[in-house]
Amino acid sequence: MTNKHTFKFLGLAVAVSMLLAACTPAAAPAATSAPAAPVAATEAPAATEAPAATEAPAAPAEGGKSVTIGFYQEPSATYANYSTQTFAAWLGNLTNIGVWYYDDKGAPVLELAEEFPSVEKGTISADGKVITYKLKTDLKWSDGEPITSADFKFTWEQIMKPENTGTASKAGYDQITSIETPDAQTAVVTFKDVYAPWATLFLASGPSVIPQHALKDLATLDGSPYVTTGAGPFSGPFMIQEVVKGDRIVLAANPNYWRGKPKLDTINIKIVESREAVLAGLRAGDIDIGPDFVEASIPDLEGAENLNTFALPSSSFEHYFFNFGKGDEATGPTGPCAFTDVNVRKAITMGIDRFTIADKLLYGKTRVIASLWPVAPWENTELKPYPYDPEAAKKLLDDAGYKPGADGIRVGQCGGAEVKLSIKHTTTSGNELRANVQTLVQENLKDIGVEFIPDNKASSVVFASWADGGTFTKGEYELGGYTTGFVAGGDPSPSDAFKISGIPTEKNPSGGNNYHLVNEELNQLSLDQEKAGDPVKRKEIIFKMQQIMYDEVYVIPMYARLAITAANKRVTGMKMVPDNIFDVFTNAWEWDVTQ
Amino acid sequence: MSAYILRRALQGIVKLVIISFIMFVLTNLSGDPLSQYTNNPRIRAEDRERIRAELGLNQPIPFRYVGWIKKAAVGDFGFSFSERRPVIQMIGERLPDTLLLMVVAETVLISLSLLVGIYQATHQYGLADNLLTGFSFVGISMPVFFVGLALLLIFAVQFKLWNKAGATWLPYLPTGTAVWDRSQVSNWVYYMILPVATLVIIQVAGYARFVRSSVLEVLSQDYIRVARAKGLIERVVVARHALKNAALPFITIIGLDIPLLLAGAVVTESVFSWRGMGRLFINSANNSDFPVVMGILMLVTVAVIFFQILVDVIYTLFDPRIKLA
Amino acid sequence: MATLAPTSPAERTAKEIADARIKVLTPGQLAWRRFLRHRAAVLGLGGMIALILFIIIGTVLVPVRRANKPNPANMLDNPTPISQWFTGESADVHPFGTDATGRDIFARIIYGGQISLVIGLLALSLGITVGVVVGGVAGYFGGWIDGTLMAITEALLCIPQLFLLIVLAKLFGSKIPAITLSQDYKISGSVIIVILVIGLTSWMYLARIVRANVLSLRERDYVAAAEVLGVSKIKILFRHLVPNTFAPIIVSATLGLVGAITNEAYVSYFGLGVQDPPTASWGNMINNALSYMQRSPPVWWVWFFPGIFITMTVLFINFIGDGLRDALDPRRRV
Repeated sequence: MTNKHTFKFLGLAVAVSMLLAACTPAAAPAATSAPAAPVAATEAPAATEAPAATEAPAAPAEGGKSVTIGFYQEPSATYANYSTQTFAAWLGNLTNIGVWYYDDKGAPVLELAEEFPSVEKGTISADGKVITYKLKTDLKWSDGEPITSADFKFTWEQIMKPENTGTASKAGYDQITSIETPDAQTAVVTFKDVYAPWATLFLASGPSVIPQHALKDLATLDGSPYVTTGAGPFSGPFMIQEVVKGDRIVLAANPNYWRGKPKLDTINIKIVESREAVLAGLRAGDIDIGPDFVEASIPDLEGAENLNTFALPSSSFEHYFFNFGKGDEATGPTGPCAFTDVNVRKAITMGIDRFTIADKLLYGKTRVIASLWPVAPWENTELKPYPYDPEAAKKLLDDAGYKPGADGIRVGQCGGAEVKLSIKHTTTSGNELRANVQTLVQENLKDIGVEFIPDNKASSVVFASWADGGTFTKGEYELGGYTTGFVAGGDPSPSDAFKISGIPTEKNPSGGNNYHLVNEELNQLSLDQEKAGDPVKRKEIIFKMQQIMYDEVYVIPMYARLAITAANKRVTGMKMVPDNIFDVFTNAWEWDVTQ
Repeated sequence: MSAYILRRALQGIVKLVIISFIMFVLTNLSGDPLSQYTNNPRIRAEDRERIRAELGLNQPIPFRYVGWIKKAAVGDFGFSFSERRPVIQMIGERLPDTLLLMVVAETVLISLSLLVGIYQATHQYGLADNLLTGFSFVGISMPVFFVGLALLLIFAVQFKLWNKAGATWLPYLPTGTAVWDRSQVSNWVYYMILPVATLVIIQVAGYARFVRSSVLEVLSQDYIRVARAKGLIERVVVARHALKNAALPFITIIGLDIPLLLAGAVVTESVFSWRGMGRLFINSANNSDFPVVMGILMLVTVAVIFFQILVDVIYTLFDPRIKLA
Repeated sequence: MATLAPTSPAERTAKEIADARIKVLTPGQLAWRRFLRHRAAVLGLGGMIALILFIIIGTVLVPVRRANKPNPANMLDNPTPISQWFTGESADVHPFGTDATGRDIFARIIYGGQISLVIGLLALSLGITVGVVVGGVAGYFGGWIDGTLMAITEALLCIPQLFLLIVLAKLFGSKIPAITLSQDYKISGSVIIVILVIGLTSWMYLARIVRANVLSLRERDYVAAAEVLGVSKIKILFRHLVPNTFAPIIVSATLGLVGAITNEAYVSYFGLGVQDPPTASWGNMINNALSYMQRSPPVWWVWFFPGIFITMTVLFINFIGDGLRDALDPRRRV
């Protein structure tokens, strides 16, 4: 009775909907019955309506020039210092300005600041503890109010305020004892002690400078519209006009930007599901700019005729490192005895064909580096990477007393016991590039008689803290590998990566010296560079550190990581700066479109 | 009846508590959510310690569990570690998309398997029956992502290549949700074809076979012979009697499978970049974002238990022979 | 037949003829006959044997080095056309193409197949063992043991297996170091993890079935007799009761094997299963397939062949399982 009809009806309904679906791709957009999402007046037609089978690039909007950026991760806050994400930092770059930003030569480009503080001009005190910032006059927020030193001081207060539990980083700001504002354009910042990375403070990719007049009455920034829905006001080239969670962020040009209104009228940040989706959007012309691709996408990006690919070696690098633990409480579990011999380390370095890896797996876009500070001006360019020389490597190992055994793997004496050169290598699992590199390295090392066994673990295990059994922190590895970088925001400090006090132990679980290395000289130099207020002196110290690390081969720098962004050819004026955050968004005010 | 439902509900709650405890312990032991900050130079060690304390990760697990369950019991699953906003909000954004996919897939699935199953039952051992059986077996044997990838390759990538090479009449489907306007129905349909097709292909085999065997079983009963003897046309016999009696076990299977469709959706969503709960689960599991993982697990478990009870109730309502245990 | 002994030669011959005609078959032989009548099942069995032979012969003929040796000069190479399979240098012939570091996919299918099948079988065995023990103990001893075990079983059944797999794989992942079988052949510890994880998430169905069977069987006379005789409970359980639940165990085994192989594929697809260097498996060869699809021309051979092999394996086992179900339970009509 009813069942028959029900089932027949269902069948019919299914057939009809399938027919409809089949017709749709070729047909014009069907009349929509779904309630339309709130659309901003200047929403770019880059978000195509008809899923047409064409690839014509989007026509310019009625309301002016616009660009669509594809983010595959939604910024968790509209204030950069309320999020640890890189995407939030990029949003910060687009909507706010800091005291300066760093260009592709590593030199500061002034934004809020009138001049760069220095000892000669008297804006850095003789003891280096007091820095005076002079702000430009006539700077305005997007709502017309002036940007003054009161905002500067307010920013620092908000960072340190305990009620702001969402603050991502207080690094450096907790070294400030006070900020005086003798007039509206001057802020005098006093530090507890000489803080060498002071130039990384108050940048747009971090806390920038926030508007006191709009936020001063809030008990806390947590959950406030400024942080969650981009209520503004803003100081950067663009202001947030609309936030649709899970879908997009719409930015409009800020007429009060100190360089004048940007050439573009709108920027649409579309939140897309994955990198693959961003790639698909770029190729289809729906997305104009897609940042943060991985090296594996390079052939796809370069193969697309409508895209420009920016791929620069950044200051981040991938490296393989040795476990120098000695098996005591101060340094952690014993690393392989063979690693204590510098010649073994050198042999391994020369036995890995890093050049082919850079060439084949990284498509020749990056270079093999010799030091862990691979960007100007901190790079000691005298140092050249160890060559790929398996014969020399074999000789080094022979001389060190390791002779090939029956199975081809070398065996020798170390520390009074017989030792086989069979090394486990630990890096993050589920990373295709790393896995491929390991495959090639395994082959290379086999040729010189060293057995290389990949033993990868999930990233939330290798990078976990001491309490959670982190592999690197606890020194439970032999040869390790990951990406890191020391140059951030123009500052080269390796913090405690080479300090003896940085070795993670039970009593000091949060140290950053994952190498478990004890080297008095490196330790002292690390401490010295933190206190060196003079950039020239600092550079000397960093150069010395590089030399030591090169001679002793404490780590094997594999290659500089690439910062990859793809942009549609219609977007002009884009520049990429190889900061640790792979930035293309620092000069958004210069962007323009050709159609 | 209501006593039965109440009893089952109580049992369900007990199950939920057991599950929540086991899963909480398992997830909290499986990695460090702050590990993603290790190589982020903006976040120093002191910041990490501060964030760790804020997130309550310094406390022992049983302590954390008690805190969690107290809030979860009233529906507050806490804040995500990576996005610092309510888990409910995050799930709420993604749930509609997954539900949409599942409901549409389920509808297509039911209709298709009914049609195919009945056809097979009434034309038993014919060529079509054997072919369909063969295809459907292949369908269940293929892993979900293989089906998805194969469909993508043919209908999206290859068709597009042929289209570009000259066959401009050939429509092609998208390779995942790139930029699209969520307010246009046609967009939805366009992007849903492949994921729905994937979900249907892998399941239709099992369901169709089930329908087929149920209908066959019913058709061999005595009362069907009576109906035929009465002179009813075959179609009426099938529709009025066979279907009605075969429908009940079919409903049972669907009811029990609906929450399990979520698992299939996890893989499908990955392949097609669909913004659903499945992808959220995978991403959160990878980042050790425990609150989100627990939130989704609990939601799915509640759905499973709910449907189990629902199916039992429907069964009793429709088959007077069944007495509630 | 006749109870009286045959006397005359004629009667003797008649009896022999009659005896010869009616061969009494054991239940096992009967089941086997029924199985053979099921065409698909025979196909499945044949296919499975062929697949296993392929892997065994492959292991002998193709050295494991070929599966693990990268070749940066030849990355992502197209499959060699059939016409060139026997003409070119054997090192250059790649019937299934090469992967992202130039390793031969054909060889990886063979060695990956070993891993996938072994994982499937071992995980299945683990699942069956745990399921039988839990179900048997719960059903036989009853009381609070039954209650607790069943509460846990029912609770775990409520979670879709894939979710449970992902959580457990994250939890146990990478806790076991690699095992060296020979100079070139290393098995990642993650293989053991995957076996454990799949085994630990698939025992629940069987436990319920075994429990139900044991519950109904334990009231039988022979059980009471054994108890009276003083036979230990454990012996009764595993010597008498469990073997009588043979049929559902077998059926569940085929489903379980299919599930184990498929689940290994899923877990490896997400990067949580078998880790690739050093060990290939059909599942982890499909990892990252999506990113290859976007190239022009699309790279399809990297994921297509493992997928086809998984499909074939599962298909054959499904056919066999269907046949077994028919063979062991003749009352089923389909």
